[in-house]
Amino acid sequence: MDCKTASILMMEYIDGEIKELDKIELFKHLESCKDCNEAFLLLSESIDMIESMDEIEPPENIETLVMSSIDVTKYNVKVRIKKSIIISSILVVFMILGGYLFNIILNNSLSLKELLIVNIVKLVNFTVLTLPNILAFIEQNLALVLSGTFIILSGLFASTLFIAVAEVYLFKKFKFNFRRS
Amino acid sequence: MNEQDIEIVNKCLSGDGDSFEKLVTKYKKKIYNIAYRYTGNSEDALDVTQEVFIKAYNSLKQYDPKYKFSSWILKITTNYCLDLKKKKKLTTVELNIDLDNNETSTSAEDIYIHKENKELIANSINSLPDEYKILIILFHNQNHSYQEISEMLQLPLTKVKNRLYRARNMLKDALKNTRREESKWTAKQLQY
Ligand SMILES: [Zn+2]
Repeated sequence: MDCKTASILMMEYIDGEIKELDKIELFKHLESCKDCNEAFLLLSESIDMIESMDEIEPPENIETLVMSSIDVTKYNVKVRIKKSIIISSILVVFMILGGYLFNIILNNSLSLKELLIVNIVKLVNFTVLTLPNILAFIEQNLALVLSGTFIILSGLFASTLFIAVAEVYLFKKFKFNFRRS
Repeated sequence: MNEQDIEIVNKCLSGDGDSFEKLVTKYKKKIYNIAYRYTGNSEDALDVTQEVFIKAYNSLKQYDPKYKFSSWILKITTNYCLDLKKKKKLTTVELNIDLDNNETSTSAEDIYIHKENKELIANSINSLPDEYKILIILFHNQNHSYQEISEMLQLPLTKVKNRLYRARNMLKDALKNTRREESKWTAKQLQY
């Protein structure tokens, strides 16, 4: 037997897959070949060492660490729809406010600083005078209020619809059956 | 306690994310041990374990119930380990070898030799190239079969076998070299 074959047989021996006859041949070779003998001893020793390595106990707080870094509502459709409604309403409000401010800035010859002061004063007045003024404001700007409400509502509707469609599409795509038990 | 993995997965996917904790409890030890043997230190091992669970949770929809959940999460673990070097430099300086001395033979010398061997083998495993290291850990330390490993790493069976043979030979050579260094060292010490 040559050393190359011996080397392969050693591996089969370690795997526990060696044939009885091959085993006898291998040990015969190991007796006569010093190099292979040394290799075999080292090999079995290192395998023994790995297999006798202790299992290690992981730190106890792994659960807490993991659970605090995942979004437990990730697959909760109800919570996700609620969340996206809130986010999209905030977005819509900001867009309207932004447009409104942009409009004021464009149509004014005042500087930004003056504009800010004027608007703060307006806001304070508005708050102090409260309800009658709000009503008056709505009366005077009926068209604006109505269109604003309409824009907000349709924005909400559109985003909810979009999310619902997206969810349905994703479920279909991954073909996941929730009722499986 | 005997809730099936697939039931827990389905619970998570229908909105009860808190049940994922049961899967963490069930698989943390195995994943942590693979990660520990692979990275060689407890800090990185904890990082890997955490990342693997987060990854698994976030891609839970991709889990195919045809296969065992354990195979799936181990596949994520091995992939993550193999990608690790690309992501960041591992701290390979220190090896925390824990010495639990609950064995019965407790002569000081025995413990010393035991510790030496542990460090020696941990060092040798650490010195292997990544693809070989993971094979040694999975086959000899975690007792997975060739078939399981071939599925986990998505490698043909013959390739797994050949690589493992080569990995063992590398390990053997590493052991041989350390032994040689050691005897040189003691010879030197004896001279003084
Ligand atoms: Zn030989």
